[in-house]
Amino acid sequence: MDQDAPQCEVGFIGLGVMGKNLALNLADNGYNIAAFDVDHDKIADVTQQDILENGSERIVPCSSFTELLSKLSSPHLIVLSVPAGHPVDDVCHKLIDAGICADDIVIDTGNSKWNDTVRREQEYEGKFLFFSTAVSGGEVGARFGPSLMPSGDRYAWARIEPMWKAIAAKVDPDTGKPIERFEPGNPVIEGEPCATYIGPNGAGHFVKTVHNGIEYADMQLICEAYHLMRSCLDMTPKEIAAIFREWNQGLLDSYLVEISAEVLEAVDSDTGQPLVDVILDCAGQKGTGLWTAVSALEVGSPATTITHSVFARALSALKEDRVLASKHLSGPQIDAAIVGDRGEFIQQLHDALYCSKICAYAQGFQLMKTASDEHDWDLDFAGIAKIWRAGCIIRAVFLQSITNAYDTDDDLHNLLLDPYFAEQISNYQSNWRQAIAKSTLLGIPCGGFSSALAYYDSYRTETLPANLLQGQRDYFGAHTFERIDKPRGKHFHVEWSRPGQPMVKMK
Amino acid sequence: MEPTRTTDGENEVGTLRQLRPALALFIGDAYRTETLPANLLQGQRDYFGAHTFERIDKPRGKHFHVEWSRPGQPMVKMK
Repeated sequence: MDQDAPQCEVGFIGLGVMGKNLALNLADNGYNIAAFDVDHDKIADVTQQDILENGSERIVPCSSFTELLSKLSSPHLIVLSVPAGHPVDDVCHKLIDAGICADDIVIDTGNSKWNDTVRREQEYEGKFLFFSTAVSGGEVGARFGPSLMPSGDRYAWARIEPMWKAIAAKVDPDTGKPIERFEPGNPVIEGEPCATYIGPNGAGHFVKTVHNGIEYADMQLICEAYHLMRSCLDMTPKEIAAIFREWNQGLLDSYLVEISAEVLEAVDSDTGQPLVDVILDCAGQKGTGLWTAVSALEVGSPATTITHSVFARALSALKEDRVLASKHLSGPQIDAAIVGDRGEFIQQLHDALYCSKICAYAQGFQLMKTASDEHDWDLDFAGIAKIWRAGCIIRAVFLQSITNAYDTDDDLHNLLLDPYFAEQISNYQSNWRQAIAKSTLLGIPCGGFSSALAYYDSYRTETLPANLLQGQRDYFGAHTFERIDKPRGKHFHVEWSRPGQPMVKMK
Repeated sequence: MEPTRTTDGENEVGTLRQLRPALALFIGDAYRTETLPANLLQGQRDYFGAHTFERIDKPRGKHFHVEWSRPGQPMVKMK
């Protein structure tokens, strides 16, 4: 081994799309990296790109776990960017075999399931400090500034914090807008970093999961607005892109609206058709939206728009069924009289998208609050909204308003109750309802919009028909019910088949 | 399991039988929509995450990716 081996500050394992870019980002911020991947081509790829961009070697290739440890100053700090699941544990065990110590830190930056993170922190206790950091921002975010959701041991965080704050996306504190610069070797050092300690063990990965659930909803809602413009107004993708660009100047200013315009403007060079028209309408998914929906169901937090967005992808995947069904199942024709004035309809879609988006975020934050209470995570919602203002996929001007809402009231029960958001929905809801009514009459699906409205209308309803439902449950299953005029926790049952149907108070 | 609906033509019953029975009950507007906006959604996913997409004019299972930030936004066929 080379006796003059450089003492690297950070070990990096896993140099796929995300890992490679995170490693280059770290190098740009002055960290010397010892890098390893089971695929040695990937090691060569990142070191070559580093030399090409920078001229000197900041990323040191290592051909084994032992070599990687030998290049690191102690105590070791190692970042993992390997696929979620078994590969994470596999690498952890190999690091133990290579001689990692109790004081060393291993940070998992993959899209791990939050409960795997909880398990791992316990499993590796005493062997090394297992810490997690969920990363959002895709390839470009990883390279020039992602949003980082770290969680785990507080002592480990103290050592990790300067590094994550250096490489994270930055926000202009005055405007709440991202400060972006996509130049190798010239990272953004000014502004507020989008990295904040989320909580113990799996909290960071849970928060990232909910972020992705919100992302699913956000994307679905944009797609519904597109679909309605396309089908009801016969607009071209290019015309719709222009509307999205206009929307991106106002309340809906966000990364996802911006890239939707980019996608709709693209032309397929093979056919000359708009690109969107040659893309097969079968949506894929990698699991985090599903996990959000599952978590929401498990803790009983009504995330209807998020869950709908997961199902909308599943339904889109049934392409053959839909092609067949489109020939068998009838629906209304587009009726210009129902659509009404073009400009007015577009405004209604804008307002529907905006109100539905507020509800999707309200659902996501409500889910995080429920989980935080259940697991004693003590999540800081203003802090979470802040680190989502830049770097991540759901970044939007709108997140500054969410930050303000939780800054004003850190115990806010639901985003919808914040005075600003309550007023926003009050102002725009009439158009939201019009958009849904029209789509329903015209037979264009808008389950995202309508699930959000049902959430809003249910949430603001003092008495829901769950009283009848409790009556049904008591009738067939003797499940008992509470009474509005008796203290909570006192249960009653009607003996339905007895004469006079007497009510019994349960013990 | 029986198809959820029968029609007059035998062929049509045959094709309806191919529907997944539980899902055939889902007679929502999305289900009877030949082209859903999931094409835009796949475009978004390819844009930010290089998740790739299939094309309507190419066999299923062939994946494509647009290099969005390169000049001319070339499309690459994945292996």
